[in-house]
Amino acid sequence: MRCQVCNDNKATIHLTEIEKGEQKELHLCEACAIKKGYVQKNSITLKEFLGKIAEQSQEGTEKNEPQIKCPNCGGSFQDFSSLGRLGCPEDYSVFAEHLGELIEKIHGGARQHTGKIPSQAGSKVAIEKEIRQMRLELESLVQQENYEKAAAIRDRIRVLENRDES
Amino acid sequence: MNLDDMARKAGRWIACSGRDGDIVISSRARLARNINGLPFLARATEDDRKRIVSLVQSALSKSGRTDVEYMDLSDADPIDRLLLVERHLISKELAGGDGPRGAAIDGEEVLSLLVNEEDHLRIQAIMPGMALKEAYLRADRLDDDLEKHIQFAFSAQYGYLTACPSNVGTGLRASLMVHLPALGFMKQMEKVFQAISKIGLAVRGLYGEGTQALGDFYQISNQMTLGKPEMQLLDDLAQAVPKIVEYERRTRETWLSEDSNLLEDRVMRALGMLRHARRISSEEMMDHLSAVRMGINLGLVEGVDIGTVNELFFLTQPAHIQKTAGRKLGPTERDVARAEFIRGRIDSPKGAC
Repeated sequence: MRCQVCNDNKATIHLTEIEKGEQKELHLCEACAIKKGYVQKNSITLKEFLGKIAEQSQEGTEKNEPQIKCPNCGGSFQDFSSLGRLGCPEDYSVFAEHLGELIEKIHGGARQHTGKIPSQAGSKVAIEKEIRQMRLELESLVQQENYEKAAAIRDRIRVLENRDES
Repeated sequence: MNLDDMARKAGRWIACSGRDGDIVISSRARLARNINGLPFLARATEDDRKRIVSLVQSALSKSGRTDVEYMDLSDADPIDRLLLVERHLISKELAGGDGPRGAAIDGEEVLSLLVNEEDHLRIQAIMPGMALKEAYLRADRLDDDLEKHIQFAFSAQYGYLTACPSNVGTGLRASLMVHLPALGFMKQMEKVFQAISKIGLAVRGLYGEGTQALGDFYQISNQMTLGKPEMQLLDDLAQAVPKIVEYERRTRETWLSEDSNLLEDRVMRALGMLRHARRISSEEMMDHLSAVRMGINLGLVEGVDIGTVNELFFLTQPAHIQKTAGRKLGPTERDVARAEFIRGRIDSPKGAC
């Protein structure tokens, strides 16, 4: 059976919707089901996530890559892959390269927090610093004509700035 | 907080049904927070742990949160710790961990603040029935009070920074405890699991990860914590619920119309066991209580109060039974004490909520 929306891919998701007492059957391919919001983009579980990290650090060891250690807590990325827990908040920036990709995978493609922001003064300073960094990144993205990513960052800066005022 | 009293009486969220209470037992919201400038617990020293405890205690007293009372768990009696786990007030990890750690719990058993578990702080709130937003708001308010005095680890990109990246962002894990006996009996749970995981939610047994579904109780929770605001995460979870509730109710009706005698037989046999058994294990009791609970909700059982049944699920767990007996009991002694406790309670009314 083909997908009722794109009429192209094989329908692998079958849904029954009841609207105002009327029963409606839907047969969709995964891509269209995600687009229509019936299913979410696949996210991986923590177990799969740690498996991937172990694989990555294994590759690193084979290639004799030097182990990066967090200057704050002394933890390495390999410690994380064996424990499944990070050493300190700084690890998020020290291991940004490896972690960023994996965080996206766990959280269904998300890479930006859009929820609550702490009201405390100390956190405000940190946020302002990050906004300045985001502005720099925005400029370089515009220069690279990467408008899609630039727009996402611009929106995020707006959200953060408005929070600050309120 | 007196743990001897706690063992004999269930908290408000257990004994009183909330919205959709025939199926949704409770709603829980949990926030993960860490203190800026201190290592996560995997690399924390004994001194770091002590410092975390004292920072939390001082933040609680400065913000006037006398509603929650801090309990030191590092040298608490193992039965007391297990009692709090059975009550869903602390996690197995916190009960079984090492070093300075504790929990601050309010008298109504709605709020609990876990200190030095996987993260420095876990703020949790549980409410009866379908009440995700209410539970979240209770946890959120305590978070607001604490953050006036504690600076939490936070980044503009990843939000609240947590020991495990699976909690990063909002740090919010919202979950619902649901009772799905008909779907379990009709072997429909596999379908429910698949449908739920497709929409980015997770299902597991009663006591969290890796536990089986004792008594047909399941926990449904959000899997992702980053990329959506808190209210939307709660909405996404809430949206799945009417479908599951509807599916369970419809399956009960189908069962009744196809073979009401079989259903009634199952419920009444279970009630007979609870009324007359002289020795009963926790697992067997959960099965019977589950059937009786469904029977009451379908109007098949008279004279047994739903609140009493809800309470029995908790008051007959191993630590509760031993606390009530006032001493440590072996497995067989527990099974005898449990059967006796059930016989004494099952037909007595629960009273007003």
